[in-house]
Amino acid sequence: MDPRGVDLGTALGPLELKNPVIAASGTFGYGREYSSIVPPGSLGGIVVKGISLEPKAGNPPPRIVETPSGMLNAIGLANIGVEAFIEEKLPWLRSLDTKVFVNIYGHRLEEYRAVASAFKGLEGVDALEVNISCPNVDKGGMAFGTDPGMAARVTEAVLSSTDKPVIVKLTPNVTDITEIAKAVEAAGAHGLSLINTIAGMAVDVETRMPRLANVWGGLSGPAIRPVAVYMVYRVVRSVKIPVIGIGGILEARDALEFLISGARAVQVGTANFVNPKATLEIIQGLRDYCARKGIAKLSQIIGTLET
Amino acid sequence: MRVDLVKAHIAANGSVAKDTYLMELRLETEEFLAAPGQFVMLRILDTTDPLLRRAFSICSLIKPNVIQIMYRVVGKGTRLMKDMKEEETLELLGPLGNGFQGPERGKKAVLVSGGIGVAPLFFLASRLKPHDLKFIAGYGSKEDVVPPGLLGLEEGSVLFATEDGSCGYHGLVTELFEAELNKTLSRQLQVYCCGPWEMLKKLAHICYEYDLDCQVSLESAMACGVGACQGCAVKASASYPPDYFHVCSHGPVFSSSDIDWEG
Ligand SMILES: Cc1cc2nc3c(=O)[nH]c(=O)nc-3n(C[C@H](O)[C@H](O)[C@H](O)COP(=O)(O)OP(=O)(O)OC[C@H]3O[C@@H](n4cnc5c(N)ncnc54)[C@H](O)[C@@H]3O)c2cc1C
Ligand SMILES: Cc1cc2nc3c(=O)[nH]c(=O)nc-3n(C[C@H](O)[C@H](O)[C@H](O)COP(=O)(O)O)c2cc1C
Ligand code: FES
Repeated sequence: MDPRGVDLGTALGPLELKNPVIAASGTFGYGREYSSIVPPGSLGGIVVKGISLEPKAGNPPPRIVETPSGMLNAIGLANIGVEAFIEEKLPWLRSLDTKVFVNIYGHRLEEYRAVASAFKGLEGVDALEVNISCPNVDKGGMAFGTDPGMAARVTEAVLSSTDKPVIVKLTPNVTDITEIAKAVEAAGAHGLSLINTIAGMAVDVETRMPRLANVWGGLSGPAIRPVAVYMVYRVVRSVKIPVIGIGGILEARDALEFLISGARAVQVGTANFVNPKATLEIIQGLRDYCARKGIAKLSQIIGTLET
Repeated sequence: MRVDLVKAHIAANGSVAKDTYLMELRLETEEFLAAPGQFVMLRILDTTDPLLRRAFSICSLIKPNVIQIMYRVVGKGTRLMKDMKEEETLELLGPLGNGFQGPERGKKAVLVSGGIGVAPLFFLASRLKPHDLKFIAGYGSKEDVVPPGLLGLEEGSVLFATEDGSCGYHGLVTELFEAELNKTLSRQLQVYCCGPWEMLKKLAHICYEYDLDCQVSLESAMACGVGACQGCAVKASASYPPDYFHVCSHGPVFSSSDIDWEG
């Protein structure tokens, strides 16, 4: 079978993607940074850096540190703010032949509502991805995504402020991720993406100082992949809405672990830093895999885990 | 700016001073359009540890598609690099960042390095006329000194300072720099420097006092190298609330007055 003949198309509820490979939020800038290496039109989608109502400078450095087969980051959700994003970044994104997901966050329900409504009716934004890993300032800084009730309220707040499909991005830093997933589904979300980074920390034993100025950060990269695959496996079995798998994907085989476990699409994050061509190689690798297995449509392998 | 991924064949890799190596890379591209001050990011192994690419300044461009980098062995990645053999290949991302500017006509360039910070300044020196520049290199000790002849500069064209006094001026390179400033009457100078943060901070201060334009090349932990991750932040001067530059895409070369040296 000719790999070129393989249909990689996948659907996330109302969204039709040409292939299941999406660049993850915070690792692909606003889409343009890697465009000389990765033609954006070859991707299933791009998720832009998390956008908030006001511009945010982010945390003091050091913001990143390498760990075994992974990295910790404490960027502090630095971003240019919704107004500058729409003015400066969106026109270019709009010209792309790929799905554009705008990742949004806030520290109050009101902020989520305001950012979401800023994109109402705007062309070039195909969906919102809601980051609920942020601390809720009205609830003593507890992350929205760690409580089913709060996660549902953010989902409702965003849904009532937008005409776009809403994908809620779950944090793994919880006792039972399926409880959050079910609450978000019940609140009406169109899809889920998981996982965000796992909370972690590293210490410089010479200076006895944390390696990140923020003390702790989020772990990403291949080190987290088994955790992510397990969470996707569990969530897929507890909800009906489509799930996007994220965490430590470097190559096609890694993406396949998620797809076989039931994810309808995947996001690639840290791998972009390691190998800027990773997304392209994964797309090609998926074609080759399907061809080798005699599978005409990638969708035929989604959720085919043998247990 | 156009960033590319290119295959780099190791053409030579050898020691040039204590814990310091020079690697020559033949790139699978016709022409590598690199300017002094720009850098590359190398993927050392295909495995996941080390995971991230390592950043190195371009130390010289000896042919349109042959570059040299000079590196100090400090950790896992550079330890692997020093044992790599000719004809092994690495994957290179670059050229990255913005290089040094100027000097303006009529201004003499003063290059000041600390330790391995000498690497990008060698490239800059190779692009300037010998009588238009003064090169001052600081090291810990004589065994750390990289002979300028290895990079095609005339022996004797570089002034040395060593902290233990085993070669050249006995003391810090910042002291030698100030002593040299006091010897010359002309203030038509453009200062370029690269080295440890504390040294750059001192130089920035001296240049402020002498009213000299000073460009610094900075380092920061990096993940992407292309402005996509916002990991390589450095605090901008006179910014409250704090504002940050990204070393990879706004720098790595900055005007010293743009940086908050206390941040
Ligand atoms: C723009 C730029 C240009 C550079 N040019 C040179 C050069 O010409 N020659 C040279 O010897 N070194 C240079 N460095 C520093 C070089 O990148 C580090 O020494 C190298 O990454 C260390 O890797 P390691 O695996 O041996 O050390 P480890 O300590 O094991 O590295 C662990 C992690 O920390 C990062 N890291 C460690 N030290 C530094 C550092 N000083 N700066 C940034 N990240 C660091 C590594 O990239 C890695 O992700 C430059 C850094 C930057 C940002
Ligand atoms: C440097 C960096 C910045 C990130 N920024 C965001 C962000 O702004 N919003 C978000 O929802 N996730 C963010 N993430 C999380 C990633 O999108 C992804 O969920 C996570 O890194 C796991 O995937 P990976 O292992 O493929 O990187 C960031 C991750 C990294 C490494
Ligand atoms: S290293 Fe990613 S923005 Fe500079």
